[in-house]
Order: sequence, then C-alpha cells, then structure tokens
Amino acid sequence: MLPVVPGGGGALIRAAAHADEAAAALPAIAHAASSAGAAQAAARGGAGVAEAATTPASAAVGTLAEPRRAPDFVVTPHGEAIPVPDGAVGPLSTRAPGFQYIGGSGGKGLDQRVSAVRIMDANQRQGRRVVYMNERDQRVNPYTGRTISKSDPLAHLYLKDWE
Amino acid sequence: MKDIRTLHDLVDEELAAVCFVRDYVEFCFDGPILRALVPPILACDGTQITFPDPTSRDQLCALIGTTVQRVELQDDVAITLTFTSGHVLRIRLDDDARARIWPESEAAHFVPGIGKPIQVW
Repeated sequence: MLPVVPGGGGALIRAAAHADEAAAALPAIAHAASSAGAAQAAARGGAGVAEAATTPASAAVGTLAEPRRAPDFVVTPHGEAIPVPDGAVGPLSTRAPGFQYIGGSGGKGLDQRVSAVRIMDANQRQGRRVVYMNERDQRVNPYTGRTISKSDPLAHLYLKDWE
Repeated sequence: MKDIRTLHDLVDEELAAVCFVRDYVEFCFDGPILRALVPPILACDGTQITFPDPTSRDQLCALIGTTVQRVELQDDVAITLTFTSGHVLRIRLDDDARARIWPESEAAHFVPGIGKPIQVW
C-alpha cells in the first residue's frame, strides 16, 4: 500500500509548488486522489507524463539531445504524485517500457543518495510501478538511500492502474 | 576507456569486480555494470554452476581479470557473455527464469556508466 500525504492533497499541492517547504512531510509516493487540489497537481504532473510520452520508444537508449530539467513530480491520473530527485534530467528511455529521470539528488523527502527514479509500465507479471535508484542505478529505499533486495516492498512502489 | 552505450560495447572490456548486493549479482567493468537479478549461470569445460549454489561465488569471482570476447543478446531468451578464459556467463531472460524470482519481473540491468541511464530487461 502506498503511503498517503498527511493532510491530503493540499500538502501535495504546496509540495508541488514549493518542494523544499514540503520536503519533511512528503512521502516518496503521495496520494491526493480525493483532494480538491488533485486536478492542479495532475495538471502539473501531467506535463511530466506528457513529456515522457513524447519520447519515442525507438529512441536510442541513453541519448538526450538536450538535457531537460525534470519536473518536481510526475502525477498519475489517480493523483498519485511521484517525487523526482532534485536536479534530475529526463525523461529518458529505460529500454523496457517506461521512462526515467537521472542525475539528481534527494529533495522532497527523498534521501540524498537517491539520484534517479524509474516509472515502469505494467508487464505480464507486475503492474505499473516506481523504482528509486542511487547513482549506480541500484534500487534503494527512497527514505534511507540504502540498497534493498528484489523482494523488499519498497523495491517496487505500485501505482493504481488506469486505462 | 571507450564510450560504452550498449551491452555489445562490453566486448574487449575486462571484468574488474563481481559484487554481491543483497540478493543479486553485479558484474562491474570499471564503470559499466551488468546486473543479474535472475541467478546467473556460469559454464566452462562442460560443467555449469548457478548462483547461489555452493562454490558459485568463488567461481564467479574467478572471472575477475578476464576479458569479454563475445556478447550475445537474445530478447526473452538470455544475455550471454563469453570470456577469453573460455567461461560463458548466462543471464536468462525467459519467462520461466522471471517466474522464479516473482514478484520481481526484471531479469537484468545494464548501466553503461555512473550517472548514465539504466537499460532494463
């Protein structure tokens, strides 16, 4: 189960607008589906999703014509906000269906050792999910920055499905 | 070091380290990393051993200092690295191998370098 933003979507919106201010309160994955501000968050995060969607699947892995600063958050149609490490760039291809933001460091409640985040499409065995990584692209606990095993619940943060 | 972008660029690269991280194995090439999330299989002289079988760690570490001679990538089948020593390292990408590590569904990662985007199988 994904953690929920204390205080509901309002906190999320403030976090989206003033990420540093909300860093202490924001969990790695925030849920604001029922909040009045969710639409605003979705609009902001939607830019990230839309931006990622414009990256052709056939694009060469690892190439980025001009590094673009990542959004603070990517927000799903259900209002789940995915914090992106500060200073990250992307979106970039992951080869498998999904996209990633890399080269950042912490922020928004993430440990400083968290440098990248992947947002992966569903496949035969797993649903849509979020994976936080360190600079070696090892999966980490987003709160502590420590490496985790494949079976750790924080290795894959599942998103609510959407059409 | 040459510019490494894809798995096939590992040809002629020397294996510098084998890292056992939690419950998976990384093969490090002084920058690039091939990560096996499914148990890697090492074959040589007609025998093979699968991590984490007894002695598999020693045998995987024996690859350190050897050079990649050939890289073969067959999507949904396997990533296979042949070393100059004659050892063959195989990371399965098939459904059966993935099923054994459920709920994980990713079989392998390739990181071309620190700070470079990961490639997922």
